[in-house]
Amino acid sequence: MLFNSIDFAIFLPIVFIIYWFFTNKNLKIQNILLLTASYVFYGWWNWRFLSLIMLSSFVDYFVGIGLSKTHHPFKRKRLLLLSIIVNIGILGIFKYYNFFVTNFIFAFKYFGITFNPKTINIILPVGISFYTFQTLSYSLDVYKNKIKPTRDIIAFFAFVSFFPQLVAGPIERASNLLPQFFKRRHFNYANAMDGTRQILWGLFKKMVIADNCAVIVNSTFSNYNNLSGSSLFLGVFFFAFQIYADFSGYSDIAIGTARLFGFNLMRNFAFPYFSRDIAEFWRRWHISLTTWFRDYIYIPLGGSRVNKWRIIRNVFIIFLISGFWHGANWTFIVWGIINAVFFIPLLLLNKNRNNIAIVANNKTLPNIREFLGILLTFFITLFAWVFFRSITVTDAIHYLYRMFFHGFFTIPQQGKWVALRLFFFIIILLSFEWKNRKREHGLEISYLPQWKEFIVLGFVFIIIFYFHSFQGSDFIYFQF
Amino acid sequence: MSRFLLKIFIYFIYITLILYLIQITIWGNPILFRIISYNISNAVFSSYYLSKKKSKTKTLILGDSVCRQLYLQGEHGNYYSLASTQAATMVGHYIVMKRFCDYNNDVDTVILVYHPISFQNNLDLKFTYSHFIKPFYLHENRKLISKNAQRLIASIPYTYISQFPYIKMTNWNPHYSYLESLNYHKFFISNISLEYLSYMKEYCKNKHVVFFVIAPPLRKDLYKNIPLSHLNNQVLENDLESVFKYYESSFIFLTKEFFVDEMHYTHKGIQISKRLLINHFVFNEKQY
Repeated sequence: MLFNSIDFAIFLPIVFIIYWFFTNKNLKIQNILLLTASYVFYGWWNWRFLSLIMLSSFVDYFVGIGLSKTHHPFKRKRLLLLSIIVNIGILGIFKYYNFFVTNFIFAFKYFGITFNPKTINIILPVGISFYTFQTLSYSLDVYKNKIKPTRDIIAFFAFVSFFPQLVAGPIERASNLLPQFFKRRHFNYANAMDGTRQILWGLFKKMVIADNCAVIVNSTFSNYNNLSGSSLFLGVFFFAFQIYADFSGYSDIAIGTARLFGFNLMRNFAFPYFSRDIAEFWRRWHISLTTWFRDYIYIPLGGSRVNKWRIIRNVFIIFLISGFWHGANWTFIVWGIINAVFFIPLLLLNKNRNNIAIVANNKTLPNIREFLGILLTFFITLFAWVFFRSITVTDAIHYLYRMFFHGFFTIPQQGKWVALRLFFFIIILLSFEWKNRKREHGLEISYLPQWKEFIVLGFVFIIIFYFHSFQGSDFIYFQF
Repeated sequence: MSRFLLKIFIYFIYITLILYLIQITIWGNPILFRIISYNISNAVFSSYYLSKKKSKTKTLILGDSVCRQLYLQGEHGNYYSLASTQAATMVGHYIVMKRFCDYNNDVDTVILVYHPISFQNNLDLKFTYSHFIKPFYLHENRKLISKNAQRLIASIPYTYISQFPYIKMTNWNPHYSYLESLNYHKFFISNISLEYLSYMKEYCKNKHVVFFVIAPPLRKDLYKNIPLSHLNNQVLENDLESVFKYYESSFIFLTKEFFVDEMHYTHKGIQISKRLLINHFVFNEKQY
């Protein structure tokens, strides 16, 4: 079920009403309702793949219990290994099998050895990378004694499949989300109101920004050979906003929906395009995944408390895995490497934590230095986005070559009115987010008087109503 | 909780009222509609609106989105263009042609500039709801919709709410099965296109108006080798030779750098195509 569909517009109020009016007296029944609703939500897309979520949940539930029963290091390691094998195995089969097979065939062919193992023709289960990482984090935390395993199977299954964040995150940690299933939830007016505003903001980002950008982006990337450099620049510029609005829009709707049910999910985006350097960008972009890699891979590898060569190795590993997590394609791997190359100098010069505080703190506008930093960071990310969006690495290189050497300073060929409208929407997006950059989301306007709040919400709703696009309604991150 | 629900309810009423006021304002004013609305079928709506405009021009141009790139809508010297999209279907083109010619007796030539692929539309494509049902499925046009067309429309759900302002003004369209894409490897004319080309021919004949079809410049690498025999047979079988007599000879092929996709032009492509087409078929149409 898509957040921006009529189905969800009917589904959400029904679950909300049953949740608060009929099951609010019994926590167990409330959790059963959430679990059922989550399975309906996921099964709406393809009920057969529910078995994968159940399998992942079962394995980690019993691994958790197993870990609590034994202190023997070898047995504990074996249990953890079981969880890793099952979760990464599911991912490996459904997401990476064909990639490895075709690359092995290619590599062996290079050395003159021919063999033809079969590739599998299977669709990628939606959100598989998100829920497998979430369940895996539970087993890892139990193994490290960071959290106690639960015996409440309903609560655990509901934690794994919690519908607001099931298919595209934020990738929650058991230590944050699981305890919320054991506590009685009370309806909080302010939290629910702001959750509703956050949902509205997420819909604006998805339906107005991302889906409208998609129209130009798709035609640009599928036809880059015939377009001028300036048109290609415009294409990747709009892609930067498409991917941001699409993914952070989903996160906003997910977090807002969870708040309606009395849950607090972790923040996933913190206005990344206002970052002054690439290190800050990565602290603000897809926070739940970045911190997941930091806690479960980077720090166990030694993090930045090792010698310089190992720091470089660790950073490369993280960005490589991050790229590969996004998809079984060399383009994502190159995207990861490019980001590592941008990031490492800052780390080696100890400048990666220069910009911790919010940009233009207590000021209306950034100073020149901050502004140039924001601009430079944005252009660096644009360069990397070309690889992220292209079908092959060769396409990306050709795209960049044409962009810089085939009429970069000409008038773009895309329809001027469509492009101008998109700029107008992007200005609205950036204005709201800049104004509220100290807050959780762009439409957190509870500080306004009620009449002003009504005007602002009405404005955003009308923009969504009149300017949404139905041409690219799937969320990009579903495929990851 | 009650405070939350009350606020959501008030908000709902408030938004509904604002939207209603906007609808009334925009709907009564086609120019505002064109500026404000972000409707994907804007071109079709404006073509329908312009078809009731008075004009002294003698040549009317109809066509798909490729044609619209070359002949912008409205009056331009000695021709008037009502080109919209192929998704408006031949039924839509017939309706706007009839409206315009009924209102403007000076018209003596109607030219349909149509990509050979566009003839395939049989009211069964993705954008049929937005580009045909919403703009044309009005009470005033029902008598122009044939039984065959009506039968096809019946398979499209929610046509009864298509004229509701909130539906009409937005890009919403229902989910239903439709053809995902046109066939880019074959030239043929759909049944509905054949039927309505015949109606257009008859109408023009009765009004003593010359009516013919020409093709816009085509992508050489895609269309040069597609045989026209099937399309020509359909033309013969349906007695449309007079309408298609210049079609094959109007084929001009351009290399792919003049196109942004399979059929639409880049800026340079538009300039070249305009020069080729306008010079040969519009300003000098009398040579035919």
